[in-house]
Amino acid sequence: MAVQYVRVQSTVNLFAPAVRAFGNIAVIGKVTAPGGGAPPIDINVPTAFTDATDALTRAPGDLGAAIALAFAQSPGPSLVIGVRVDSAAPAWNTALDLVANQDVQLVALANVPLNAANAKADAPEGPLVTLAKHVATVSESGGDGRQRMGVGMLPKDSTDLALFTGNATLAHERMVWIAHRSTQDAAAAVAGTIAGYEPHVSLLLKPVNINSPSFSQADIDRINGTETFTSGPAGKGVNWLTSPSIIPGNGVYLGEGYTGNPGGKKYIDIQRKVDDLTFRLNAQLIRSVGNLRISRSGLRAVIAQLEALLAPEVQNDVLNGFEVVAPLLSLLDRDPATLTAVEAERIHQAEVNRIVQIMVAVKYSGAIHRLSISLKFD
Amino acid sequence: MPDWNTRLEVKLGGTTITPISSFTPTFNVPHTVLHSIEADNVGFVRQPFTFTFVMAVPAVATTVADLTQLATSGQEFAVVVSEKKGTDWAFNSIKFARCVVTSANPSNVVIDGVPQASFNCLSLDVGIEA
Repeated sequence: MAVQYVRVQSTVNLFAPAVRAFGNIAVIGKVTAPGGGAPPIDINVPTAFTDATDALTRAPGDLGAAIALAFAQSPGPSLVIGVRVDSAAPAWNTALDLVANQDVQLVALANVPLNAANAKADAPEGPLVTLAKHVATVSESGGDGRQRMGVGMLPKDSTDLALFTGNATLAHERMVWIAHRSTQDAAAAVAGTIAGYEPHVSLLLKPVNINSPSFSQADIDRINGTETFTSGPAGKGVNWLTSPSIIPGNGVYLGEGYTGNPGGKKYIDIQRKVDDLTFRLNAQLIRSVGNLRISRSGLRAVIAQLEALLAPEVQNDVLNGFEVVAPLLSLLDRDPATLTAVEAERIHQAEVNRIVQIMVAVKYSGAIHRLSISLKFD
Repeated sequence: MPDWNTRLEVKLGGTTITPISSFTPTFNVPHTVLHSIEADNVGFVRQPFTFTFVMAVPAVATTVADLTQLATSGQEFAVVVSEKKGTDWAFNSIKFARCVVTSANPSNVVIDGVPQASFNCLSLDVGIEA
């Protein structure tokens, strides 16, 4: 070996702040292998795509079309992860398990409409049931930042909610359902639209780049339910594509921003914002855990970290306000001689068990979804 | 009771700054008087508020190095002053979130005594717990 007078050994240790993307999509679907040319992507290998052409070349068929349609949205996603399943015997469960470890916030199945076979609850369960279970399970137990939502579509022209109503698995607050009249993959298009917006933005009347003729008013009534002059959005957990004549041009827009569960977190932005805040609170406080002591100044330092995260949200008008309460702090603040036995025991338990409870209440005000104007002519 | 036997504590993020010789917050809340033709002093015009604080820290504290690094990299941090012992202070705590160092004097070199560091900081968000 030649003599080296100056020797350099580089160690890369770049710092990256904990951030959570809000618009990465995973699409799972079948691929139609072309006659010639490059072979498509392998089955059950998550592949990252950053543009539509690449997806159409390497995953032709349902999967490539869905990814390309997601990228066609403006604003749209910057990263879509595609997973190919076998065309004859698709193992959706295996593919979804692979996606569980990916950093994605939206999951869709390419060209899988909500029909009786796809919504079958008992074994072999339908792929949309598997998807709904996947987003619910992974969000609960999949680790930090793995919270996600699923997007599914009704069959073309369908306004029949029979498969959906009363089905707690499908009508979940982590699922988004879309009724459409398009020959394209509406679920992928809507996933792309959602991905383009920050979590707190309501999806009502956001443009979707897809060809879909409008539903009739009677159809929309079947999907949404009846609304009166003074009522808010009714909603049955299914969104629809619409082209309001009062918006100039021929654009297609999301008719509402509902999640699948009208009784829970009714709007998509609520669920996404909750996920976003949850992750960022985790990331902000992870350094405090294990360092800060259960003392007056220690707890106040924790609260200061929380306020440092939430105050900018208030300034940005995303939150109307917030409140942070640490019940233990008021006990620690008091003169130890004046504590009752019960109160002293609570402090003791916190010190021994090393757990502190802090309650954070945020006031979230959504976007305007309906305007009722009484116009009076005198 | 006009006694003072309370000890305060200054925390930078999760670490206590110790020793620290002084901590001086300044809330600059300017208002100018509004005059009218028919009368003087009819109201106020509120001007932008700014919150700053100055810390004098003997350069034996390890946080001096942290603060100097925060100053040179322009990173944000949070500072809390709170009661460590006693209840005599008028506040329970004053919290400064989203702070940056605007001017740092990391250490003078002296022939006697401890080298002193001082940091001028500004904060975007102040919380007062009384």
